[in-house]
Amino acid sequence: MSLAVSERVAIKAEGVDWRDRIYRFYNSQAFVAFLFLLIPVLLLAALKIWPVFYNLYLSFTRYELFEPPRFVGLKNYKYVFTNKTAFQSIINTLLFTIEAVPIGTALALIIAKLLDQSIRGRVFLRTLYYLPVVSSVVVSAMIWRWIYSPQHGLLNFFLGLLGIPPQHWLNDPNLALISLVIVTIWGSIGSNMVIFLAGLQDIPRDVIEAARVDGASSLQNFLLITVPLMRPVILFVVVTFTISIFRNFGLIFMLTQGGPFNRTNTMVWEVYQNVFGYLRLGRGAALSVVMLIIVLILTLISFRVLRERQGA
Amino acid sequence: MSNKLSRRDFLKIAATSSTAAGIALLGAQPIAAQADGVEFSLAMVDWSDPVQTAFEETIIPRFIEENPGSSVTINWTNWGRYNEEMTTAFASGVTPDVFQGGAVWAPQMARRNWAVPLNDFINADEEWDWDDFPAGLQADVTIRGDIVAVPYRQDLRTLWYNKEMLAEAGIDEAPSTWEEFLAAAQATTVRDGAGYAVEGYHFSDASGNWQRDWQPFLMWVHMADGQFLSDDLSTCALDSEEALTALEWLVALVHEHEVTSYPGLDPQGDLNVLAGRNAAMQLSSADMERVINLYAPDEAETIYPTLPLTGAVQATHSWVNKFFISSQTPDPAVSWGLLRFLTRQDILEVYSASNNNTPPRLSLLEAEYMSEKHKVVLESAVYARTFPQHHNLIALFRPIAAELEQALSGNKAAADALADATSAINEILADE
Repeated sequence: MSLAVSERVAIKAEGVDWRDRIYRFYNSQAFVAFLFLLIPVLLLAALKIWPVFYNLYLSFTRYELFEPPRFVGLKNYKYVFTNKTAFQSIINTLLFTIEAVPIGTALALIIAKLLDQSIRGRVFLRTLYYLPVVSSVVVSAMIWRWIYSPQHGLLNFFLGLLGIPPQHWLNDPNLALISLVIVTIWGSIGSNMVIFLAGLQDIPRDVIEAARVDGASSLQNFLLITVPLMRPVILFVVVTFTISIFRNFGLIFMLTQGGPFNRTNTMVWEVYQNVFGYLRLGRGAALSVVMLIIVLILTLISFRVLRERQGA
Repeated sequence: MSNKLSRRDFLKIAATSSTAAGIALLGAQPIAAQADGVEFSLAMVDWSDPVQTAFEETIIPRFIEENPGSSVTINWTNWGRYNEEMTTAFASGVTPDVFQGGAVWAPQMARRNWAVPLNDFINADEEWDWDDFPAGLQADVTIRGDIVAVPYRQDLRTLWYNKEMLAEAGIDEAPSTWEEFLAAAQATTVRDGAGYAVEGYHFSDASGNWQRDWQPFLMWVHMADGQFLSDDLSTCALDSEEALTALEWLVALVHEHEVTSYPGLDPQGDLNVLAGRNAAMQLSSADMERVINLYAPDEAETIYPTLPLTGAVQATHSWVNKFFISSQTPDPAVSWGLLRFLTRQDILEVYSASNNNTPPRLSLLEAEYMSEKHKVVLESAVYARTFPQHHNLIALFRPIAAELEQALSGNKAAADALADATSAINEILADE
C-alpha cells in the first residue's frame, strides 16, 4: 500500500530538516568549539574520571599488581574503620584540618586586609608573604627541618634565649602535628592572601565609607562589613584549603613520615603506605574513597554554614 | 568557488587535525625497549657523587669498550622514592633492564615475579665464580631455590667507638660484652641539664625516619640470640624472652642508666653524631669511615670499629644489597651480560672503593682500598645474620617501629609493646 502524498511530503520534510540540522551544525561555531573541546574532555575522562571509577572498583578488591584484582566485598572498608593505624589516619587528618583551616584562613584574611591598605612597602610585603607558595615543598621542608631541629634548630635557639628548654618539635607526639600545621599555614598563607586581596577589591568602598561616617571603628568595619561581604570568597578558600590539606603529602614525607606514634599519619600518607609500601592497592583505594567522601561532606558543611549565614 | 581558506575553515581543519592527533596519541602504545641487546637501562639507587663519578667515568665506559655499540642509560634515584618508582615502573610495564634492590627485596621480587631467576645463567657460565660470594650472601638472594639477584654490597653493622673519649674515661680497650659496653657508655656520657652533651651510646637519630629504631633494635635482638620471625616465616618471634631481653636492655639504657636519649641527638647534616663528637659509641657500617674521611678527618685517628658485642651470643645484622634483572627486560640473557659485568670482581672493586662499600666477594677482601678499619668491619661477617625471607617485610616492620616508640618513650612496658607488635605482625601474616 502506497503512502499518501501528504505523508511522503512530511517524511521528506523531516529528512531534510534532520540533514539540514547536521549541515548547519557542521558550519556553526559550535561545531568548531565542540572539536576543540573534545581533546580536553577525552583527556579529562581518561586521566581524571576513569581513574576515579577504577579506584572505586579497586576498593572492593584485593590487588597487589602482580596478579589480577580479586573481589573481596567490603573487606577493605572494614579494614579502614577497624584497623587502629588506618582509623587513626582519619582522625589525624580531621585534626589537621580543624587546626589548620580556621587559623590559616583567618590569618590570610587579616594579612590581606592589612596589605589592602595604602602602606609603604606594600608590594614588597605581598611578595614576601607569597614567597613560600613558589618554593618547592622539598625546599620548604628542608628549611623547616632545620628550624625545628632539636639541637641545632633556630626555634630552640630562640626558646633558649627565653630560658625555655629545647623541644622535639617533630618527634614529640604532642607537638608533631601542630608543627606540621604551622608549616602548612606558612606555605598556604600567600596563595589564600592573594585570593582574599582580589575579593577585597570587589567590596564597594562607599559602603565602608558610609559605615565610617556613621562612626564604625576599623575593627567594626572589618568584622561587620568586610567579613560578611567576603563570605563567598571565604567559602572558596575554606573549601580549597581543606582539599589541599587532605592532599598534603610532601611535608609529611619529608618531615615526619607519619610519626611519632603515628600522630602525623594522615590519610594520604596511609594511602601511600598501603599502595607503594605494601602493595595493598585495594586498601589504598578504599581509604582514598573514604577520603573523597569526607572532603565532600566537609565541603557541603562549609557551603551550608557560610551560605546560611550569607542568607541571614 | 574560491580556493581561499576562510577563517572558519581554517579553525575547522585545525580542530579536526588536533582531535585526530589527540585520539591517535591517546591510543598510542609506549615505545618498547629496543631488543637489539645493546641499549641497556639501569636503575641505580646507591647514589652519591663518588659512585656517580665511578659509573660515568670508569665503569660504563669500560662496559662500552668491552661491548662495542652498546649503551647504558642510568636512572639515578634515592632510597626515599625508589620503592615507589619501581612499583610504578612495573605497573606501567616500562622497567629498567637491570636494577638495584635493598636488603628486603629478594623475597619481594621473587613473590611478584619481577626478577628473572639467574640459576641457568650462573650454572652455564663457567667463568662466573659464584663461590666467591659467601654462603650467607648466596642464601640471602636464593628464594625457594631460585637465585633472583647478585649481591653488590653487604652492609655489615658493628660497634664504632671514640677511642679518645673512652681513654679519657679510663677505658683502654674497646668493649666486647654488654656489661663492658654499659660501663663504657656510663663513663663517657656527659649530661647537659635535662639533655645530653655527649651520649655514651647513640641509639637513633631524632629524624623523622621511621626506620631509625628498628634497625639498631634488630641488632640487639640478634645479640640476645633472638629472631624476628619463626623459621617457617609463619609467626612473629618477638614475643620471646630473647627479644624481651633486648628491648628491656634498650629501655634501661634510656631511662635507668641514662646513657642515650630518646629521641636521640640530631646529626649535623651529613656529619653523624659519633663523628660530630656528640656520642662515644654507635652501631654503624663501614660508611662511618667514609663520613669521617669526608666530613671529620680530624677524627680519623680517634674513631674505630670493633667486633660485634656479645650478649647471649656474639652477633650483628647484615644488609645485603643486590642487582636484579627485570622480568620485563626484552632479553634476559643479554641483560645478564650487564649484571655479570657490574658484579665482576674488578668492577665491584671500583664501585665499592668509590663509596667505601663492604664488597660481597671474598676475593676483594684484600683489595687495595680496604683499610684496616674496613677489614675489622668485614670480620663481623661471620657473626652477621640477614633478614628472614618474607616477601612483605616492609609491612611487618611497621608495627615494631610503632611499638618501639611506645616502649622507648616509657609509655608502655617492654613486654606489652612486644606482645602488641607480635599480635599486629601475626595479624598481617595471617592475612597473607
